[in-house]
Amino acid sequence: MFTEVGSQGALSIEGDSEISLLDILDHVLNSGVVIHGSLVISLAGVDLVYVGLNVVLTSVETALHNIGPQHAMPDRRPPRSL
Amino acid sequence: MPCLLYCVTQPTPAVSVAGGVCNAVVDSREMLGVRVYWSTVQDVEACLGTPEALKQAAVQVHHVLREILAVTTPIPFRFPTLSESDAALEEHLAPEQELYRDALARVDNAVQYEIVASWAEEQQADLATPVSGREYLKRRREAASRTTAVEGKLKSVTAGSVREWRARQERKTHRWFALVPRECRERFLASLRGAAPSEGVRLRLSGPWPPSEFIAPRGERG
Repeated sequence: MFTEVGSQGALSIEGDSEISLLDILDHVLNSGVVIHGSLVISLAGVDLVYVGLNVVLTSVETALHNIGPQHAMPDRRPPRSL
Repeated sequence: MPCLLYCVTQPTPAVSVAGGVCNAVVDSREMLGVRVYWSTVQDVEACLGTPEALKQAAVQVHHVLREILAVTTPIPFRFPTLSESDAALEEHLAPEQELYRDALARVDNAVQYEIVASWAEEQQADLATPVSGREYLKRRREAASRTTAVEGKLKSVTAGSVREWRARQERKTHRWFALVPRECRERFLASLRGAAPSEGVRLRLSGPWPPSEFIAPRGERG
């Protein structure tokens, strides 16, 4: 898995086998199938994630904020589900 | 015992993954016509309850998905997706089983690459200064024209090596998603590297990723 960056439209290898933490978090936290039910709860258009059995509820945005502002997402994708 | 779900794949092959979130074993089982991957998490609070733990778990999920992607094409669950027990997995998956199978058929033996385009002019734009409606529309038309030109070029140079394209406009960037059959990966990358430059645009390519953007049928995103 890698990232390539090019200026002026040409693509050149930036770092083989290197994907940024931002890329990883973006994909893992912000894409994929959402199972409807008690696992991921949507309230007023905000995804609430049921994290623990002791009822720790957090939104995706809050989780990202807590992880660190340097990893804040560049944009918010709409929830996707099957 | 709660389970953290990673993904579903075609029933075969079954991929053996070294380790999952919080060093838990990665289990898989065929059910409802798909194979489901998950880890039983002994202590959910310790594993996911703090920001640092959550970040580490997210990265571990990425590593699990990458190992599976190296062998077969996964459809990931959005992290963190938990089930109260492995016995309850089938119950959670059953309502959408046909859609899982349809999605797996659509992305079978393919991976996702992403190309993000940004324009120097857009990056330097002063969004705080108000502009007239006419000027705003003019800028929108120019931006759309630039995007169309880059898209045309991407599709042209990679013709024959992409099964499907999807795209999304973001605030200052445009993102394209290419569903690339495994056997076409090298050709796809070579064709992009060999493309003639376009003035003023910066392109960033990453991948391969699980084909999350192609889970829903075209026109049914979200």
